[in-house]
Amino acid sequence: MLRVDVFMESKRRISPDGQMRCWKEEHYMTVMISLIRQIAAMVIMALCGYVMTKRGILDGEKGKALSVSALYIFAPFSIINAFQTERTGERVRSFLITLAVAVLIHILFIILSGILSRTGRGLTRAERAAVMFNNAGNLIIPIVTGALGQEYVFYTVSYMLIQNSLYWTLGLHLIAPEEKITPRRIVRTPTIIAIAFGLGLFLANIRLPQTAGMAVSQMGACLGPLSMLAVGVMLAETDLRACFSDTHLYYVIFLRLIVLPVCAVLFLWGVGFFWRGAEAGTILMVSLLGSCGPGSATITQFAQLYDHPERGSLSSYTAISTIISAVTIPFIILLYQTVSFS
Amino acid sequence: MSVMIPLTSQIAAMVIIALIGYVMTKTGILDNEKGKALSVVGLYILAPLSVLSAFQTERTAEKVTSFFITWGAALCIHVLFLLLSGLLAHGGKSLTKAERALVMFNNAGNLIIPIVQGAFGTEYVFYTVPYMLTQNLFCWTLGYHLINPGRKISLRSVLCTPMIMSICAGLILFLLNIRLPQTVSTAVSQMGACLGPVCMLAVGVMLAETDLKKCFTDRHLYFLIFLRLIALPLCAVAFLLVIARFWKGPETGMILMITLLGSIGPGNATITQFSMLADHPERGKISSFTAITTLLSAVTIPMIILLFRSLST
Repeated sequence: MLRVDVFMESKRRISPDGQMRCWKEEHYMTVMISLIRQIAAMVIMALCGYVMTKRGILDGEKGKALSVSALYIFAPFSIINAFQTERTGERVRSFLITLAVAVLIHILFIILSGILSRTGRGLTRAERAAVMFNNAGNLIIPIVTGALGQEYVFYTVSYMLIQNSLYWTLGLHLIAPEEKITPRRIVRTPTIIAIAFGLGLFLANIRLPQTAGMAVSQMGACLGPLSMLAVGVMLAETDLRACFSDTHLYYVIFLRLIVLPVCAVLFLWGVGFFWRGAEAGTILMVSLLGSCGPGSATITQFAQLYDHPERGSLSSYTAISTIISAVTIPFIILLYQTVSFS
Repeated sequence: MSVMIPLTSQIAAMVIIALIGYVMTKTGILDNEKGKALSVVGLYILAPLSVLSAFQTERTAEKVTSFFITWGAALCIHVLFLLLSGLLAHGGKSLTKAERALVMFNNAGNLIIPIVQGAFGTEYVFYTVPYMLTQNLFCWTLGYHLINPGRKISLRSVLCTPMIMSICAGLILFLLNIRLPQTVSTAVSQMGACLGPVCMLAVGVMLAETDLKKCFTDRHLYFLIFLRLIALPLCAVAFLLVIARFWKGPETGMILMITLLGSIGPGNATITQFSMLADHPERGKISSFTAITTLLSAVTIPMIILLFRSLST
């Protein structure tokens, strides 16, 4: 927190256009605090799952039940809920911009992970998938809801849409090269169905009736806590000591949580030059949050489904990077604020 | 009337969630095993946390008084239900021990907290605690005994239930007027808010696994449902109307209504779980009773509340 204070002080001194910038900084300051608080709250939830597993109330089987219900039920409902907002020209435009940004970030990540797998320490195919994709769905929606407010969750969808389409094509191909990719497969994932349904309602400007809306939003609110409980179970089932002594794992985590996010920051900083809307800064921050999350639960599940030889290290990678991301995500956001508002 | 609309729409929203659970089970995404996992998470993690979060409110003399009055009322209602179900067990269409437990206890914890939270706001969840505390004490002693007549009940097993522990912790924090740090309370309240959806999904799974056609033809089951959802709630209404005569505070009506909500819920999930754990011969009937009463309660709860409100004013 000290860093933020210092940053703000120096800003106040050099800022030429007093009032407006001051308000902006106050605003981002509160965003930072609520961001850190929300992430810390989610770490506490994961610890709760960890303790419950160690005490024998939860186990691997129940953790799987939790992650299946998070992936197939709660995440789709939270997406539909995100789309339940008024359609304005501004929102549609911002949505399309974030969609383009998400496509470009993914292309950037695909190229970068391709280069990284050939140079330096090298990456296996599974590790490439682990570095390229992150847990945008399960983590970013709750973070954005808690820290920025319900109205911004809408913009998380574009990143998730692109990432989900890639999961079922490139991601699946990297984990299970022999598996055939069919368009039907992509279209039938719950997330894509929810996005199509939600987008349809949004474009037609239809709101769900109040009762159904309540059911959808209450279901959507369960996504964060249940995903984090499942992460806690996964952590408790991982041999943490073996993981912490695996230096290659650190390298993969470093790529996922530091290197690629920093590239995304630079890219979004560039976008910020061309796009100056009223809320451009906050909306791009949502895109950034989408790209700097920890290891993807979906890739881990693919690995488990196809009995991939590296599935053990992939699941510990997901669990450990989730905990570490509690530190790196605020740091990346701070970096973004520093470069884009100076 | 202003209270009735959020109440009804909250209950309807919960029925929709149960239907989602039903559909998800029929399409094969959820199954019995996953439903059980959800109800364990609800019972052992989310419900205690939502109680804990209910206690995170400022201590005022008025709240303390209301708390103890509702506690007294909850005790009296339990004794009343105990006597009534005892009378019913001996007279007329007699009840088995397990059926007595079913009629006596209801799903206060899993359903009433989300209903009160959604319809009236988090600050009123506090007043659901006295009823739940009493019911949990009865449930883990008398209820356990009715389902497992042979087994001994130790004080330790009662005190070590997550619910009782969290009530104790919450009550102590409340009486000392200590608030949890904001990050912890964010975590606790966000987890507590999952209680309703998670439990209703589990109910949906239970419904999908029940042979509904067979249940709807069992006349004795209708009698049990009538007792649980109409007869006993009417007795509770009469009793609370008497209390309302003597206790006149600013929020008396609301607080007594929450106590009433505690006593008129559908079949109890804890009793169902006891019977599953004990492999009780009547467990099929018990779980279908719980599932069906949950659906029917969407109609009976608002009616009972409407009756109470029109009689008390």
